[in-house]
Formats: sequence, C-alpha cells, structure tokens
Amino acid sequence: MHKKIKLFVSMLVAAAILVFLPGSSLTARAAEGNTYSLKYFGGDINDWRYVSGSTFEDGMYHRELYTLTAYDLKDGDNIVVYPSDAAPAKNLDLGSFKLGSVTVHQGAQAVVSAGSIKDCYILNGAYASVNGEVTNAYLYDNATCTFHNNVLYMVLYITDVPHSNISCGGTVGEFRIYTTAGESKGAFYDIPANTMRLTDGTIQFPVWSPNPSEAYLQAKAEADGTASIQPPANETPADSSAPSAPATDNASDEYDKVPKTGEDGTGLWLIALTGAAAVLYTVSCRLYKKAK
Amino acid sequence: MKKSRKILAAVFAVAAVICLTAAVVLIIWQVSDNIRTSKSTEGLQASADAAGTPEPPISPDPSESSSEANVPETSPEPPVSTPEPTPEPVENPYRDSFLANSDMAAWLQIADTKIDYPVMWTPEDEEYYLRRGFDGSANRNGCLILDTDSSLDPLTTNLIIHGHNMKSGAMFGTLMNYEDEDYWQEHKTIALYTKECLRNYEVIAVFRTQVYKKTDQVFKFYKFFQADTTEEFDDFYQNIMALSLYDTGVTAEFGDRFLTLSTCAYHVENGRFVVVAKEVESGDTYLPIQN
Repeated sequence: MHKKIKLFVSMLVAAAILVFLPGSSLTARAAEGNTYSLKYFGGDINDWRYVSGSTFEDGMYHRELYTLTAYDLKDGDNIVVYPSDAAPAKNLDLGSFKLGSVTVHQGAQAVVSAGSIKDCYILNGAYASVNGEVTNAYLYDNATCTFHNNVLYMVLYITDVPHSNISCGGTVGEFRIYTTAGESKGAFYDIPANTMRLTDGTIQFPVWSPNPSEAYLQAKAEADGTASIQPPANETPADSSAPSAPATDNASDEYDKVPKTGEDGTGLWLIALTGAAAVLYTVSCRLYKKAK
Repeated sequence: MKKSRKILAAVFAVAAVICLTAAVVLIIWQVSDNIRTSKSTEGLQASADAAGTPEPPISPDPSESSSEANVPETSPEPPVSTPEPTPEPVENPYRDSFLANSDMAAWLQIADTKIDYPVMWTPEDEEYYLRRGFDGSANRNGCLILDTDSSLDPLTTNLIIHGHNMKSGAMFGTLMNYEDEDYWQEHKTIALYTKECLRNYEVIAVFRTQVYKKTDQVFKFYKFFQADTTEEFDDFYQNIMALSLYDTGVTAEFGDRFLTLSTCAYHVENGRFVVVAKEVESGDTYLPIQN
C-alpha cells in the first residue's frame, strides 16, 4: 500500500512538472485602439493639431489634423480633446471613423464629427457638440453638450446640484443621473428624437418611459456584447474633477511596447526536463522491479 | 498484470530518455549560440584591431572624480577664442563591420567589460535582431539594438540601446554590475563608435525601473528621445537623477545628449535595469565609409 502511494505521488509529480513547464501558458489579448490627443491652435496655425498618446503638453511635437485622418486614425482609436487658449474656429472633423472613445477635457470646446463613437466622455466644464451615433455617453457636472444623433445610453454624474446643459437631436435609449457617491437620481428610458433636453440641470423632456423597452434592451445587449469596458450601472462613477483618462480604458491592461530583453526560459526548461527525466526513470525502475 | 507493468515501465523509461535528450539538445543549442556570438564578435573585433583600433576610453582613476565637483579651486584661464584646428578624419576602425552589415548603426564598447558589441538599428522592425546574430541567423543572445525612435542622423537627445540580460554574461548580461558603486567607479565611460565619429559618454545615473502600462502616468525612461525644450529635458534629467541608485556627481543641462542602456531585470514584472550616460567630448571623426 505504501509503495502504491509513493508510485502515485511520483506519477503526480511527473505530470505536474510536464503541465507546468514554462511556455505552457498562452495569453491572448484583444487588439486595442491607439490614442491621440488634439488641441486647437489659433494664430498662424489656426487648426487642430495632434500628438500620439493621451497627454498633450506644451512643447510637444504636434502634427496637422489632416495627417491624423489621412494616415494614422483607424476604427477603434481613441481621441482626447484638450482645452486651448484659442476658441476653435474649425470643427474637429474626424471623418467617418468608428471611434472607440472621444474625451472632451475640462474647459475644452469642440464640435466633433465622426462616423460613430462607442464611449463619449464630456468632462466637467467642457463644451461640446457631437455629430455621429454614440453608444455610451458619460457627462460630468457642468458639461454642456449637444448630441446631433442617437445616443443609446447616457449618464450624467453630478456632485451636488446639476447645472449641465444637454440636448440630443436623436433618440436616447436610457438616460441616468448618478451622484459621484454612486447614488442613482433617476432613470429614463426611450426618450423620443429631438426631445431630450436638460437646461441648467433641469429636466425638460416631456416624454419618457420608466421601464426599458424590449428593443432598447436588445440594442443595449448587442452594444455590451461588443463593448469592452463600460461602468456598471451601480458603480461609483469616476471623480469628475479628476477623470483618469477614460479615453484609454481599452488599453488599461496593456504594457508599453518595449523590447523584451530577458533571457528566455532555457534554464527553467532544463530544470523541468532533467527533473521529469529523473522522476520518470525512477518510476520506470520501480515498475520494472515490481513486474519482476 | 506483470506484462502491463513491464510495458508501463518501458513507456516511462522512453519518456525519461526523451526528456534527457531534449535537455542535452537545449544545452548544446545554448552553448553553440554562445560560441557563435563570441566567434562573430571576435571576428569583427579582430578586423577592427587590424584597422588599428583606437584606444578605448579609459575610465578615470577611481580615486579621481569626473564630476564638476572636482573642478580645481583655482579656475583655469578662460578659453581663448581662437578655434581649435579641426582634427583630421581617420579611418573608421569598424569600417569592415559597417560594410558587412548595413543594419549596424554603431559599435558599443565599455572598456574592460564584456560589453563590446555591434549595435543594430532596423527601424522597419525594431526587434529583428533581438533573437538574431550579426549575420541574421537565429541566435538567442541576439544583438544590441538601437531603439527605433532613437536616431544617429539626425542625432536625437537620447539614444536608447536594448540588450538581453544573459546569464552567460553575453550582451547586457553584465550591465547590472553597475548596481555596485565600485564597479561604476571602474567603468565610468562608454564609447560609441558611429559611422561618423567616436562618441564618448560618462555614466550619470543607474537605476531600476520597469515597463509600465500604457495608462500609467509615470516617468517612463523609454519614452524620452528628443528634448526640444528645457522642460522636456529637465523632466527626464530630474527623474533619472532621482531614481539613480547612487550619486555619480555628473550633471547635465539642456543641450546635453544621453546614451541609455537598458536590459531586463527581475525585481518586478517587466523590470528594467538602466544605465544612462551623458555625452562628453567626442573622439576621432571618421572618413566616409566606402567599399
């Protein structure tokens, strides 16, 4: 009996070594969009300029908007709009791309046009006008925004008394208000086209449903199925005073691309292989002796 | 029952032999990679020696310091405005290596260390030589690679060179010796032989860091290549000085250029060990390389 247990343990160890050999764990990561930050420049430039990444700081080398839309921008990419000293004289036309996200920063002003936007973040104190279908819109406190097309899911995060000015030219599938403490202040479903309006935080749309329709639920489920990250309804929203670059949510788990200069797992393989050989040989000898 | 045990014993024995054979093959593979790396490098070094290798930059005596703190109390006479005569260009000692492989961007040398290798630059595929030898054949030691965002022409403020941290000591396998301040004292200078000239560097900071997530808003040494403003320069400079494991006494100011050597470290996931050096007085200038 004792020998049988030892044999079982030996076989288990051999199996474990083989299973846990380095290189056996493979991980797959979803493709992610790139992030570009844009800022309007007045004066001689008089146009939008962009840099790669989610920060646009003074002194950074920036490029013309047409280069972005002609060469760099792809479906699924993320856009961050930074405030500028000069009021934009030109619309931010991002073509017909299906963007992963658009974030309009605090104090920024922009008329954004795109094919569609999955996640649209209008931060506290931003002024925006959005052309293109929006799946999820997240607005913060004193944001001012006009959506010209349909919005499937819209959330307004408030700290105290809302002062937002929001309107939508299309339909709104669901509109919710949350406090930054996570307390729900109401949910409104199936708001008809061109009726959704909030003026200085006061709800001014006459028609809405207290319950979601089947059509909305189905559309939402489809959107969620393709959505990567979306805050749960009962989740405490981000602090509107310091949003942490929501435009790059898709990339939150991705590391920067830097050459991997570690030694490969040769040493571990050697240990595993010689260990496995020793265990297998021992087991073999014991079995042979028993058979004799 | 006995027969089945015998069969099982045979199966286990065969599996053991297979595992052992695989281990031996791995060892042979590793050793052969090391031999090929060392032969290839020695061949190139020999060719440089034949061409008359310049004196590698000698690190200053440990008892002396290269920092500004050691400026003599009595300041020397202010420099005379008469321009120095331009030195005559000489033959590049690594001419044959440059001709042998156009992907070679430079030759990196730290005197009295194993670090004496070609540096490859392939902007179309940064990691091409990460697991390939100088001749392009598969080799787990790889080559030293110049980050594709770095450029020698035009010269960027920071040149980042990546290399494998091999246990055999190959490539940047000995770079982590810089953790020891005494080692730094003996190996303060780094030479980079480019096509055009010899660039000398002095180690300014040595630190451990890591590759961060894209969303992490932290100092990332591997994102700094060009400083167009004082702010950009100071941001990098102040961060590396703050991270440095010890004070080298070397200072820098806007306009200075850096060489950053980076290799993997294992203190954290995606860890990196980094040695940053500041460019000091250039050495020889070289004649154009022609066939």
